[in-house]
Amino acid sequence: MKNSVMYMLEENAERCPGKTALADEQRRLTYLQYLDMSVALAEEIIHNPLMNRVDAGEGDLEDAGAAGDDSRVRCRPIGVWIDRNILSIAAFMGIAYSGNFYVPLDPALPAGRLSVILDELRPLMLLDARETGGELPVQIDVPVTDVREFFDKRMEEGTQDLSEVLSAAKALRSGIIDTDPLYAIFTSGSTGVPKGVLVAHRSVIDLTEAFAEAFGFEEDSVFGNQAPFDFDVSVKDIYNALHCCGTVEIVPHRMFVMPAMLMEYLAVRRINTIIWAVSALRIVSDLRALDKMETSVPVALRRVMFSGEVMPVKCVNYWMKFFPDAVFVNLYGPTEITCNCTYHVLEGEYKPDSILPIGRAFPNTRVFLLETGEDGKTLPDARIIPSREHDVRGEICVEGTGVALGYWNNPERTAESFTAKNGEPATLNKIYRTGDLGYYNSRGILCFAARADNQIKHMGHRIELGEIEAALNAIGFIDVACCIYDQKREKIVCFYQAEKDMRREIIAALSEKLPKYMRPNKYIQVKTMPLNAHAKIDRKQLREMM
Amino acid sequence: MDENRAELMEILEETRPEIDFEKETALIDDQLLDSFDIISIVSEINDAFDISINVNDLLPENFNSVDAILALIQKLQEE
Repeated sequence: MKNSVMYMLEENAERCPGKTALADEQRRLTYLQYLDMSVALAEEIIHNPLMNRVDAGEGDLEDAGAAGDDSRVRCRPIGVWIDRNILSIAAFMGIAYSGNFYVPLDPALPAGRLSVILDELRPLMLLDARETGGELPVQIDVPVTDVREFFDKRMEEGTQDLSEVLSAAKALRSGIIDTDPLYAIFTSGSTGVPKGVLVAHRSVIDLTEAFAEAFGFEEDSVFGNQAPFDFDVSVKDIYNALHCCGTVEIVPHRMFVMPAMLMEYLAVRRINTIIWAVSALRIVSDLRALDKMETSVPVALRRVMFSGEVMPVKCVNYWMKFFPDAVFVNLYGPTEITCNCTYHVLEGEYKPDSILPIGRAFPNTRVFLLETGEDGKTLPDARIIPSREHDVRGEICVEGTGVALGYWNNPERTAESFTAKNGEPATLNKIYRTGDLGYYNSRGILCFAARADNQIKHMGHRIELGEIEAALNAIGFIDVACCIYDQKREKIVCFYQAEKDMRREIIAALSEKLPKYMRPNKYIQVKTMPLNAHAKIDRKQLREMM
Repeated sequence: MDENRAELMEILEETRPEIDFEKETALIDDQLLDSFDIISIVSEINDAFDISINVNDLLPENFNSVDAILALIQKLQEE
């Protein structure tokens, strides 16, 4: 049975043990080595002294052993200090084999935010996959395993015999069931605390099967990974490659900062499939990086897939001009439904003012619109809008195996967004309410319209303006603050009420708490914050003051 | 030249208010600027100075410091 994502890794290791599974700028791993490394890391985790202590029922993690049917600690979080390398992916798979779930942590985030996340998470242990090593950004009292050191030692020892590794792998994953969590990815939360979206094995298996059915990846597919591993866009690279027995090539971050070398890298590494954030494709088109493309070998892109925010038509037209034979796919979906729930295969060039649909639901997924009131909020007994009703806005809702388990350690937020389906008391299935508004166009195809709340997409990041405001309002010398997003200029504008100009001080305070992409670009001091008839901050008036 | 400098500083500070641009000399090498900062800076510089920064100008040595960016602007203005 396919009761965990690891079945794919074992199948591939058995069938093509010598094929390259993972590669970064410096290293590569064959499928056999990938499996061997994962199994060895899992053993290391399981035999960690702290984990044994937990088994004995000591300390505040007493309940940790209760989830499994044996004495092993299961279904508990293990953090990974990630880097742009294959060690990070091997660490993920090692944690999965240990029966626990992984949580990618970006060491570049401010220490304040990392502390909030780690407090929420209370990980059993941490794996450090950073290239640079050295001091960790936040010190907490759990054991840390240096993955790089572990990797080097393992490579020196040489890979084990295939049949031995396979039987160790199978023994490790007995007892894991597909409703066990595989990973948690943290995303912005409107109250100021990030939310950890918890996703089960079966949702990821479902994702790979749906993508395979919709797009049919080949065994020689080489996925050029752009997305950082704490973004769920990267989940598609890791697991679609596993499903088709392809290769993941991690493209170095600097290629996206100075993209002159990007195409050369794609060519040399024979990357033919890219599943990128819209923002990454925009870097290339905004800087016209394909105009003077000179590469030693042709870039042979077969598929260009994108998600994360609304794709500007001129960006995708630019790419299509250079890769006329590639298939271009618009993907849509929040982290809470496991990457994507709808897709739209583009048909030729688009007119400059046209809107790319988000398209139809993936196989084994149901996507529908619930009618909303004037304020954009879904009514308690909202009806489902049929696709023949054009241009009627409703909240995009998702039902199916892809729906996440919920938010880690946060029953209130989970209950708000993961709800029963309206008007269907007979089925107890949970749906996920995205908070995105959509409509059917004149051809009955689903399109994205806007957000129902104050969530924004900025530089490819999903941000709750409420989280920035919570951080601002916690600063002593600010009376009250409000953030507005200037969509046209792509700037976050902060209005704050204070005695005098405190720009410098605010910037310093925020850099301790918020990642740089969440910090406002512009600061405007007001003597008194404008209020509307309901005595709430008048966002409309602030917008006019920008 | 001083006018260019003032205008550039305004663009840079609005993109990343917390960076001390007068002091930093390794904006790219130390990964202080990320890819979206570069897009936003390049498009605003192009508009403000009526130049067109080419992908081949996008090299770390042209963007590591304010002086380097100013030199690039001047070079492209003279072309």
